[in-house]
Amino acid sequence: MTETPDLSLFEAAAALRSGAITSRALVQAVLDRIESRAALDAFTHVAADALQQADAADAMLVAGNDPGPFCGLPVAVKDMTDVAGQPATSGSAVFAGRIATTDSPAVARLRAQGAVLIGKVATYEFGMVGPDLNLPEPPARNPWNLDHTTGGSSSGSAVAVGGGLVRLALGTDSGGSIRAPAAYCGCVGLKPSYDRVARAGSFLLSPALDHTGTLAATVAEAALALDAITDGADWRPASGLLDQGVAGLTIGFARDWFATDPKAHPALIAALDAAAATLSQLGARITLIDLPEYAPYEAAASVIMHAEALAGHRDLIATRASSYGRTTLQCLAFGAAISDADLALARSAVAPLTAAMLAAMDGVDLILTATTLTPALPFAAFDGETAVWTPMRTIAFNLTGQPAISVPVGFADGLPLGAQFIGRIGDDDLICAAGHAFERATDFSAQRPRL
Amino acid sequence: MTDLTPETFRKLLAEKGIVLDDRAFAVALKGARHMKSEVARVAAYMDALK
Repeated sequence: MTETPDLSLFEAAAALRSGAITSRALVQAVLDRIESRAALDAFTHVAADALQQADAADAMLVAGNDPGPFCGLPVAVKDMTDVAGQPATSGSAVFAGRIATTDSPAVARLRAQGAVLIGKVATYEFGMVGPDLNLPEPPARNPWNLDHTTGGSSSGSAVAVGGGLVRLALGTDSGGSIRAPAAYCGCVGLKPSYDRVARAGSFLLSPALDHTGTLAATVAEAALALDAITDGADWRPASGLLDQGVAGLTIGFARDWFATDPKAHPALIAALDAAAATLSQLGARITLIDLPEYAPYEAAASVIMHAEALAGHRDLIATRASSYGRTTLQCLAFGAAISDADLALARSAVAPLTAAMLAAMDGVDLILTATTLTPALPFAAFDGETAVWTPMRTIAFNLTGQPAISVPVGFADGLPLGAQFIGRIGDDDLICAAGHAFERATDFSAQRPRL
Repeated sequence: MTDLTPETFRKLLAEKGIVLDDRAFAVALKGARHMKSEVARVAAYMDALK
């Protein structure tokens, strides 16, 4: 029998409306789960009023005032995004004691639907780099092996979902910060099209690259949540094509983009090959495609990110430099080497890089490739003071603004791996359809760590 | 300018109000030089388009 915290958002929503459970019972079960799995260090704050929020949701449903599908459902929020009345530290001592006074637009939309904002989850400091072992809050731990890292920066979001604490968490992604931890922790990570979700109310790392998105136990739940937080009515619902399947779609398998990299884990290559075969069996036409060289995308995005990050932190550094974590301040300092001309050059490259990526998609509906090239690294690989960059294939789509979703695709050494579907801007529904079809044909998303 | 000197980088950090100890400076200088190599990579990409 499914334990209450493991009910999908759809199952829980139906149970709430049928009277089979109450939001109070659901939220209490989740609070108990958070407490019993505290060793994951996913949550940095649990809302003191969580049960009161649940009671309010129950009252609305009893009164017949159903505000939307999230009524009474617990949602965790990365501590880069403001939730009124809850701590808002961006994982940094720089903002110690700061309490948000208003909800970010994404959170406000969920709250308007009656969601229970159950707490804040860990992030790399200011979304930059980690894990830093010398910050006030300990880093989140991989639910599949507590001796391993989570990826970041949406570390707590991925652990909270992958570790079975909640079904849904919000995250932010400027270079892979939703998709990489989702891949490492065995959950779904959905970075929507650029500008689909408002960035306001989240601490900005790099406005040109920042995206707010969802991490969830399944693609359908991630898509449902994206629809709830989408800004404006100009976007097709991400959940609109979930039942379409992949029959008739042409999927470009960008195999060489990761498999020729010597850092790619053999199990990852095998898992992606198997995924392509599965999608073919589901009726998709799989064609190998060559994407443009990754390095120029990574280069342009890195230059933009570090320049914009330092600009955004300039006032804080002037007044609170000693409160920064060592690795974060070091990383911010990289940006001092970037001149205005360097930044202008990198920005001028965005248009041709985007055009090249879209040209490579000519004749295909979406791309299949790897999310990260390896499973999560052990904590032992980090000295706590020096940044360690893990190989990924994510930041290109922050630069181009294309929607991308990471779904569980297999395991290596007992740790999860992720496959990534990428579409054209606005095709969030198509990548969710592909991810959902793949997920239903396999059992990777259904597997949970023993905790 | 991948040959960013320590002296030049120190000046750039000072302009931004960033003070680092020697160990952090060494790490940051390595990262800053990497940033300049990334700029060079972008420049090469753009030159190839001409």
